[in-house]
Amino acid sequence: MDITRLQFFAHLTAWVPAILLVWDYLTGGLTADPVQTVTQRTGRAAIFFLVLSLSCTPLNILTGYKGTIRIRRALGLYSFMYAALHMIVFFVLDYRLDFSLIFLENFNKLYLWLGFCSFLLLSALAITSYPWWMRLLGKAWKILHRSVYIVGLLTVLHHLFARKGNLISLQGDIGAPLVYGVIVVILLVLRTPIIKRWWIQKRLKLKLPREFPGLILRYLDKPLF
Amino acid sequence: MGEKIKTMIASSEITSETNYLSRRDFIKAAGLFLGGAGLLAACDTTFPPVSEPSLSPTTTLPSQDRLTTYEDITNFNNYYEFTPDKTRVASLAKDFRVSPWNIEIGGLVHKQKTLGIEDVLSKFPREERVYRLRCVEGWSMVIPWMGFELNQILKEVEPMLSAKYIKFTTLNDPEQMPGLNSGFYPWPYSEGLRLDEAMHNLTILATGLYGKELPNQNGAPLRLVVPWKYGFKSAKAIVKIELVAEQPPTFWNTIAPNEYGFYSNVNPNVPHPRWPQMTERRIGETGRRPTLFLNGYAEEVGHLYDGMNLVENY
Repeated sequence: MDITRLQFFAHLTAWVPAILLVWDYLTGGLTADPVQTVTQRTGRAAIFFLVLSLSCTPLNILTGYKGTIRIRRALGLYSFMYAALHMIVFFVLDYRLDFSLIFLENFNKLYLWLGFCSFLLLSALAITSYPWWMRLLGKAWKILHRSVYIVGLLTVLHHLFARKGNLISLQGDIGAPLVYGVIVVILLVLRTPIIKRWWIQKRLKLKLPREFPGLILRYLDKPLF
Repeated sequence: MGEKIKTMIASSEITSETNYLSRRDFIKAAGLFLGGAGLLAACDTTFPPVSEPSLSPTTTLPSQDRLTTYEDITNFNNYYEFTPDKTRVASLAKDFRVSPWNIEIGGLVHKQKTLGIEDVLSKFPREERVYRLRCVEGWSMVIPWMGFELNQILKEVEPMLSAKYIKFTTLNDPEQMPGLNSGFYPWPYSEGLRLDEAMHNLTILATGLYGKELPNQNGAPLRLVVPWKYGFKSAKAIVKIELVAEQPPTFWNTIAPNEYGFYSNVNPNVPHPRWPQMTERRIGETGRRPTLFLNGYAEEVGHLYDGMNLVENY
């Protein structure tokens, strides 16, 4: 199977946050509080690739372009990779696996429970993302993997509540989670069967080309070599 | 559990800091924490003469607190008037104009005053105060401030009997402080204390740190330092001090009253919905250390809260 340019770019982009972390570690760029910095940066990377992965199917519905479907699983797995690093930093670097302290300090923190549930669900999706599982689970696989939207919502809430601010009065450092929240909701709306059918019919009626044209997309779909 | 002084000096790469951290200063700094209440209370206008104990620079000190580096103190700042990104405050505040600068002191006082920063600097002799700083976000530092007790300036203006609280307001100049353009916050930054907290001799107005002028990113030209409260209580770049009768609204309390109380005393027994408050990460160290009740200043300031439930009045 040829690797398209889009796939190549997706993989390349996915390693950028990891490479920057290693670079900053080696050059002393992890700020005065490296544990907090690495926690936040791995978390941000996990959300970013999760939302990219979530946008693949709706983009396909919107435009008819199929290329995004080919990078959907990889983006989801990269999100899982950063989420796993995020958890390792929390449990190992920050709390030194002191589970009683972790519990005492954090059992009252809603945002951590949301993040933890989100990670457990994402782990289940990552584990069952292989074709072997797809065959084994049949129809159930599709239902299971639709729960990635639950992961998306839980993650956005986790991010939102992890920031200093107040959603009700729209105050504080909540810009980024709000943007992610709006994107996830729009993606979810596009995925709902009614909207999806309505839009595809409209697209066909408008005689929009079945596959979104454009030099860029034709470029992206070419094999890398 | 002691730290070797020599290691501390060797780890510093800043010449001026190394000079600053002379042996005497180390003994002094250590003394502040070792001596606790006695020594701190004795810091009236000048440091008490330090009797030189038989410590050689390699002697192990029983103190668990050592100064955070100048580099870390000046490059890891919460200063939302510039940016919420702690590492970018220093560069964004580089050209901040700290002169001319006026501080208006008014409200319920007999002698309202507007002081230029140069008047403040000449009128109130600076002394050094080595304090722990505990951020509500769960990290902490040990900072050698230069400053003077807030009560000195308050005595000058003669508060009326009706004055029960004090309100501090930070400069509100969006041209110089890009963060002020964010509509997500109830600018200008304001903070408040009860009058007896403000009069306490641990409460200082800082104009310097590490024996140098206060860097812009740390709140130049004049900031509040209340060492037993979470860091955000210590307003930076103060332009107005008002004495008032009622508890004034404060910045973070306005944004999220369930998270940030008016008192905001460092208290490991009051959980926060976001950050751990039983333990903290000391900048420059690895691992966590226990957070101390009233940030370790309970002996000095605990009496201010006699009969008060500090879990309810968080």
